[in-house]
Amino acid sequence: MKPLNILFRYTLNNVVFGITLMVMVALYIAIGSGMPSVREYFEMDPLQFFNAWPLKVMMLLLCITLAVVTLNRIPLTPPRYGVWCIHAGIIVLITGTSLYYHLKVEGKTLIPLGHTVNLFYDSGERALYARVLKGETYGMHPLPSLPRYGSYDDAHDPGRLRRKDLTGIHSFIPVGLQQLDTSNELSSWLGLSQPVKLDVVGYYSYADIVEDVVNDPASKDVGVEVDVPRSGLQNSARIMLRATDPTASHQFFGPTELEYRQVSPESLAEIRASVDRLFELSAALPGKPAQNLQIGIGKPVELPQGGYTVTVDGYDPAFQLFGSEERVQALTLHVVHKTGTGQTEFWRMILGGRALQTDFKMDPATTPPFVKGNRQKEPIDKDLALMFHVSDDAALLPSASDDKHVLLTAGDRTLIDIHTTFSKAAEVRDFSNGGQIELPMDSGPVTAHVLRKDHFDVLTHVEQTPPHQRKKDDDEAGIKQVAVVRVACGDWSQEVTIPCDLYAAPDPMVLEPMMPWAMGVVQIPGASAALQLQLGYACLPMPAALKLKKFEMVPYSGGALANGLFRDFRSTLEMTDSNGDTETAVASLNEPIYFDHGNWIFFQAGYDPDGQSSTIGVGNRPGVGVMLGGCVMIVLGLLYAFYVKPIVIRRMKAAAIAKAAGKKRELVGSGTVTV
Amino acid sequence: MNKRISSAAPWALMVMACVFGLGAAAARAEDFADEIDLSPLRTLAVQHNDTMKTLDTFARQAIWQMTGHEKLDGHEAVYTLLDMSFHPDEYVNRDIIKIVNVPLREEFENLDSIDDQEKQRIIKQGTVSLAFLERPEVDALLVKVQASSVAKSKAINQVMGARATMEEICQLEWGFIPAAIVPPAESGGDGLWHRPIEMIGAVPALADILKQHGTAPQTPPQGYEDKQQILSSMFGATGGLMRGWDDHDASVFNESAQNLANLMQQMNPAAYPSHAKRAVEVIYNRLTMLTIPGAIFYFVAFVLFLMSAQAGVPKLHSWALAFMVIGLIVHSTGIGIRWWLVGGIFPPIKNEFESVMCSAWFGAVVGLALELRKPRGFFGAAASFVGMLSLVAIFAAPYVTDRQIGGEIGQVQGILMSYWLYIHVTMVTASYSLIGMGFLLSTWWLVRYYTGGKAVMAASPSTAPGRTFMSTLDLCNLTVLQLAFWMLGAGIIFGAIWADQSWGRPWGWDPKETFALVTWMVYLIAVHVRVVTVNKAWWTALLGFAGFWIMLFNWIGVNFLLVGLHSYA
Repeated sequence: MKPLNILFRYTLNNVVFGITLMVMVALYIAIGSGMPSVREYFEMDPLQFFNAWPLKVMMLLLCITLAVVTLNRIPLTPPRYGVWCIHAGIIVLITGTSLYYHLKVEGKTLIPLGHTVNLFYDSGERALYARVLKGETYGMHPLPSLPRYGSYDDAHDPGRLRRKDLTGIHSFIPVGLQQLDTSNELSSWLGLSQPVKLDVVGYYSYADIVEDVVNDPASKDVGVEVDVPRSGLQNSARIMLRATDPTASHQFFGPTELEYRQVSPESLAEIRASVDRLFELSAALPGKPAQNLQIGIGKPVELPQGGYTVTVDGYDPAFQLFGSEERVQALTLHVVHKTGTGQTEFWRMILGGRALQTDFKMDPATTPPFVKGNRQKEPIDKDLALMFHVSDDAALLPSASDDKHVLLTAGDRTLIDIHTTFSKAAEVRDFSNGGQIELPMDSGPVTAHVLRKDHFDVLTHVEQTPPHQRKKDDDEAGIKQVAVVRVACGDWSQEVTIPCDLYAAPDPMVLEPMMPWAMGVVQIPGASAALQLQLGYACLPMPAALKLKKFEMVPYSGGALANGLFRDFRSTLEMTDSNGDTETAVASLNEPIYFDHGNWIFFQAGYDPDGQSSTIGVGNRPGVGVMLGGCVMIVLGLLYAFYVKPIVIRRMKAAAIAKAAGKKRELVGSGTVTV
Repeated sequence: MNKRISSAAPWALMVMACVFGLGAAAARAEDFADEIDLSPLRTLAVQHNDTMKTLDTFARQAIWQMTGHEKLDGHEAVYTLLDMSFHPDEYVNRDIIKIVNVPLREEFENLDSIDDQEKQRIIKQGTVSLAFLERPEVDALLVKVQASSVAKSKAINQVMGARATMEEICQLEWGFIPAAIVPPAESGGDGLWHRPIEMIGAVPALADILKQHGTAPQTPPQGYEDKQQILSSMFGATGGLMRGWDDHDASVFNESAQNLANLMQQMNPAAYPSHAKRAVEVIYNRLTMLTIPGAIFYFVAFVLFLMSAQAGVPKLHSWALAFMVIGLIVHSTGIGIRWWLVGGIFPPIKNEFESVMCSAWFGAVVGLALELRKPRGFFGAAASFVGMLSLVAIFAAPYVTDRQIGGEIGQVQGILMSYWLYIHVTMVTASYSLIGMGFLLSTWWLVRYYTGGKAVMAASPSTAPGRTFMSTLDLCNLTVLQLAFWMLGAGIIFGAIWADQSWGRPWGWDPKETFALVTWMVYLIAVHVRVVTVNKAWWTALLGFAGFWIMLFNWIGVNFLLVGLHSYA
């Protein structure tokens, strides 16, 4: 009992002990904030470092010491109210802060215009994502102990990766709309009887995955190599499009879509021909049956009757109807009508599946035709009624951009490039001996070299970025994380290198990730489909489903000076909570949306230069009220202790003196009575 | 840049050559700057951002926006504005545009077109040239940065604002003053003021010269049909300004300037603000709208009141009262001038600037009255503190938020982005200055202690009745440090409230906020060390000394050594 008492006297009941704790806390936070290399050595981000046990223990001891010392040594008298208030305030503040850091969730989500999103990505915790390439099943396995700052593999500190959540991974939480009735076991998703086990065996915080194409006469693989030289801010790149990896046949480079297909010589001819059959046009003239004909872009086609020649001038897959948010397919046609007396020329716009005909007068000074004043209230030619639908069976038109190259190989040495855009005639070129394609990049067009490749293998290796080229600043970080995962099933095993996708989960609207996954494909023997793995940030359910109704980018004023930079971003969001109640609000650069009585905050965290999507930051605010209460107590207590206490003491002194004087007088008075 | 000048140059040159001739006069460069009289130009009335102001105000704002400084090359703002618009080629390649945000400066490391030395210079000094900002790859870089980090958008806003201002000044050479100095037409016009270049079309002689050279002049604003004579003289005067400038002929310049000032007044005397008002505005500007002078008096009064209240020295109290009264007089004068400049029967309380100024005045008057009734120093301290805080806040708000709060006369603006931010900044900077004072007193105490005071103190312990010099010094030090302590604490809390609204979390362990907390903890430790030690004053002085260095590191060092959200501060 006695040693404990002594210990108590020199620790929890001791002001010097408390001061020592304060010094230690000050040192801890100064090191954590001022020397990032220290916390990075311990693989902790700022939130983790300031939520780590040493600080928690010190704070707990500080709180106990504070309480014990206050109770034991500071009498609760009016002059001491201030100190009591401060000390209680500090305990409340520390409680609120630990509550905050314990429950704090922060992340972001990408919302395409018009889409509804019901999950967001944690800003710190990462996860392994898996996707079964047939049936498109997605799953996630959180990796809370995955390091963040260093690089670890068999050669360097492999022990760091031997954590429970990083080894023997076999079950995945399904993400996306499709919920599986079966288990969360990866093996059952792949139709395997033996369990599939995944181990994270390598992690690189800042690296690139380099694909090495090696010649292998035994390989029957065919592919297309695209060499993009360095230009402006974009580094050079070599892309290998190939059919063996289902995800490596389709790539985006800047705004250009590149797609590779291996086809038979017969279907090659078929696909080549279909550039002139992208749309099916139905033309009706009064009193005559409607005629159907097929048409491509940019090539004049003569209608069988009436002396009309039509050319598709442009196609817009998502034309916004005037004054509404509805988007429809729209075709702009250049119509020439030859009659006995002369010819009329005009532009006509028709909408997919609709009979509406909108004509624009032909004014050579104003091309394109969509200029105020050219649009006619009534069709110029009331007789001609056109309708269309897209008949692009060969999928030649761009799907997610407006510039597409379909690269086709057939037989032993043929390579054909079909280049389509929405406004020009398709170009078909023979690249069997190599060719060049123009890629319109932000900093200007870049000429890429295209070459057919035979008999090769693609091996990957990880190339770490030298420390001086790393940008640890906010947003760049994260994209270049690389993990190596060993996939094992029975005796078979293979290592796959996987990149990081910031928004890896499928978007509920299109059932596909916002950014296409790259690499990480593995074919397990006996599996019903290929498995693709991806590193990403763990996704969490949203407090409310968010629909991006409108996204405005407010440019700088002054016409000539407008240069792609923006003064403000404003996302109009429709929030639907779990009860189905909806509420609409705007999040802009300086003004976040407070949701659920301020328990959640939605803020503008990023944007897409085309204005087609917005990145919304999501965070909760647990314990903010408690913290604020503690702060108010501290400030009021300080003011009391510094400025009210002297007055109170002076008054008490005066009262004591007066009392003493009164007693004296009383004594004196009573004295006179007795005398 | 060059493209724009070359397209403007031929016809402008023609206009000038034909109308005024290109006389050559002896150059007396060294004396020119001293001999010219800018006062007629300073008081030219200008309409800018829906606000009437003087050219002096306009030029100050432009120079400040571009360079982040009051002056460039030591010349006053109007001089620099004219020189820049007459000789843009001497400025476009100079590194004068300030990039305030450090992380944004670091983005230029990604550029291939500049060498490492230049990159280091940009990070350190933060200045770039207009020509640099107009390079396509720099444009592309800024677009890319904004796309990758919305957090940097505010920083880009600052740079683009500076760039736009400088472009506007630099694209108008040939003596056309780059500001709307032409008063609105007396009747039939749009009621707006116009820039001289817009008026060329209204003078047929000039318009014809342009047409002969194949350039159609801009359609002139309506209502100036009967003002051709004055407009023509105006172009004569602006041309004279430039000719005087180029030839270093001060007499030609001064004559043209006076001429221009008279002409603008004649154009529409009814709409032209009175000379007295414009002259007072220039002085009023020069004195930071009397905010900082008032705040300084209040601040001194505040510290004196506190010291007198704590140390009980009557002389300090009368000094404090004197400073308080002077501060109040300055404050009242500021409101009075404002009222007169704005005009009207009601006191000026149209925007934040005016309402904060008036409510603080009310508080100061009430506080002073109470203090006179009960002269203990407390009411005086509170009132002078409120006065100081509000005057500094309304002065500092536009610098901090990069947005006017109505400090410009006559402007009616919406609500301020966040009151918390400038309360935060004011509290923290005020506490820093107090920490500086504490450092001074602590050092003083320590020096005295080790040069003989130790022996004196040993002879008469602090518990002895009566105050020695050392204990009075300690008491003053304590007063100042207590003040610094709670103001810094409150400042940090206000910062957290603002961060919660603006960054989505109240506390994010950003280096700047962490080291402010560490500084605060030093004084927290000081308070508690006094409880357990015998030589209390020595500990206080020691920690007051150490705390200052941590504060200094936080204030200055963090910006350069550590990168965080606060890097602009």
